[in-house]
Amino acid sequence: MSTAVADVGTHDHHGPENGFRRWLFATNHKDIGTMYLLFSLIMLFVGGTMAMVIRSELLAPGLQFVNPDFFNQMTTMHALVMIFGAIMPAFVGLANWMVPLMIGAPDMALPRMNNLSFWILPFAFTILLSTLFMPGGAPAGGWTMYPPLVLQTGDAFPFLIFSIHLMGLSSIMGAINIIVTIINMRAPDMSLLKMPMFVWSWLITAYLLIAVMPVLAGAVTMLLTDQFFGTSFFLAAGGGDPVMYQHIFWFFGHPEVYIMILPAFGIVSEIIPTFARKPLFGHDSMVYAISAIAFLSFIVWAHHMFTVGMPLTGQLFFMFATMLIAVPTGVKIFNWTATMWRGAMSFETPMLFALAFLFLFSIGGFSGVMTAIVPADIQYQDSYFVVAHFHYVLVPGALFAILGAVYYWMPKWTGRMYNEKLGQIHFWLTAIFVNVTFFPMHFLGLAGMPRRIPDYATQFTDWNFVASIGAFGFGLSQLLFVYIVISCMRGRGEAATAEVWDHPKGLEWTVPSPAPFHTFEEPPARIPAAHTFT
Amino acid sequence: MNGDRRTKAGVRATALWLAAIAVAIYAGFILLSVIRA
Repeated sequence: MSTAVADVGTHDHHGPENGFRRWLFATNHKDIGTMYLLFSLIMLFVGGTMAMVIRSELLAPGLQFVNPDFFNQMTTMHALVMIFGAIMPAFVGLANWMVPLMIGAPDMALPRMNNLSFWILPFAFTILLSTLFMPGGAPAGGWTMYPPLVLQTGDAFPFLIFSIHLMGLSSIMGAINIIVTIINMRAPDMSLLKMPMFVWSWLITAYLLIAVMPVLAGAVTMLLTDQFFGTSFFLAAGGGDPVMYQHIFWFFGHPEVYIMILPAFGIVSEIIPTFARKPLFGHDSMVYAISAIAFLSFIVWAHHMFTVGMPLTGQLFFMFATMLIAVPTGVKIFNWTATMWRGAMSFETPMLFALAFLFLFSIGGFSGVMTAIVPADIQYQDSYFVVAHFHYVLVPGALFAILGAVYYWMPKWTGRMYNEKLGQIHFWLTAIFVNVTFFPMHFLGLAGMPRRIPDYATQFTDWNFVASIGAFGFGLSQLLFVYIVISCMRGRGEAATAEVWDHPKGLEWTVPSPAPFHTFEEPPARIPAAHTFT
Repeated sequence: MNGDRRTKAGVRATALWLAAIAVAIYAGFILLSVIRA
């Protein structure tokens, strides 16, 4: 029987190529996963540097370091780089590394397309970041690119649109690859409901990506034609409707939020059972909860734009639909807590990140329910409360899950245990500083401080100072993470066993550490009982 | 059995379907906007 992977690589049994060819022409899922993860780490620091510029400017009232236009460029680019360059590629990198290992497949189904999906990204971000040096500077109208403001962007505008198209293309190809791999290449014994939760979360995320990335591409294509080809999709002067852009954008934008959090749910569902030494509570209900969240994510988009004006029935629909998301999310939080109930728990670094995720992501969830309430949201709109809300979802939510995943699986990738003491120090510094940075933003927002401004009234001075100090501490703490990762990659630390942890579930723990270049060339006929989930 | 589906044709068919859906959504949203505009 021919296989897609075997057809591509009839040279199956050699090891990796030498030098740059190994990376440039990579078709191995582990190499491509590594490149995605390293790329996202670099982007985390690029976007983080922009965050430091923002927090330096906001350290005190008045203008101290940058002019307002450059400040706006920083807020816009920080968001684009973090969302499309750091968080999403990190999850795709984790999927590349782990999905084939978890389902017993020899590689991704379409290895050459996998190579293309990755290598598009450095070009897309080179184009995006090059706009910082163009006349008129980088895009400064916010990552949402609302017209007519975004049409005032200088020479950067077409480059922005092109880079967004490239990022979307990369994401769609990556998503197709992940779905095709999961649907076609699971071990014979692995039915859908026997799949690990990380694989489930990625399967659903990949469907979301295919459904909404083309919507973003369509929206920015129409921006492009409005700017250069005389159309008036969003231009009121030509009979167009700028609010229609907002509807289209958020029809992409809200599922995008779940694209950045569902894989995090999957990661936490892998980590907590391992360190509670109990099977995941309610495995199937977790699948249904993720599916319900994914469905609801398509019918709540207008809660991002309550203040543009819409019929009362529209407001009520989007308010109640949004609140409904709390139900399946509550199921998940309950299941994770029930998994730990009477478990023989230990608190290694991945578990600490997973636990912090549980508490701090919930804060972001609660403030999400607050902003769903229409009359209250009219007060919160465009304030720092919203900034606090989505940073709680994305930093101690998505980023903490990624950090936890790296600590959890790095021994499998490198064959070396990370330094546990340094890992714990990294966790505590990160967890403390993330709250010092973002918690005060709730107070600032409730007191009326608007977002995306380089200067503010003196009444906001104290909490801005605290938030900036927290941000500097958070940024510096991540240097420790880089040191820990590089140490493992360079082969320092204890050798890791195949299981790494105390009898974890999942096929990935049945291969040696570090995982050999080729794994599961023959699909496992039976999943060992010790490694099944249900 | 899942293992029986590891064929090149199966992989291609799934991938092409998904790509077609993506292209249809892209074109569909622009078309709807043209109709509305």
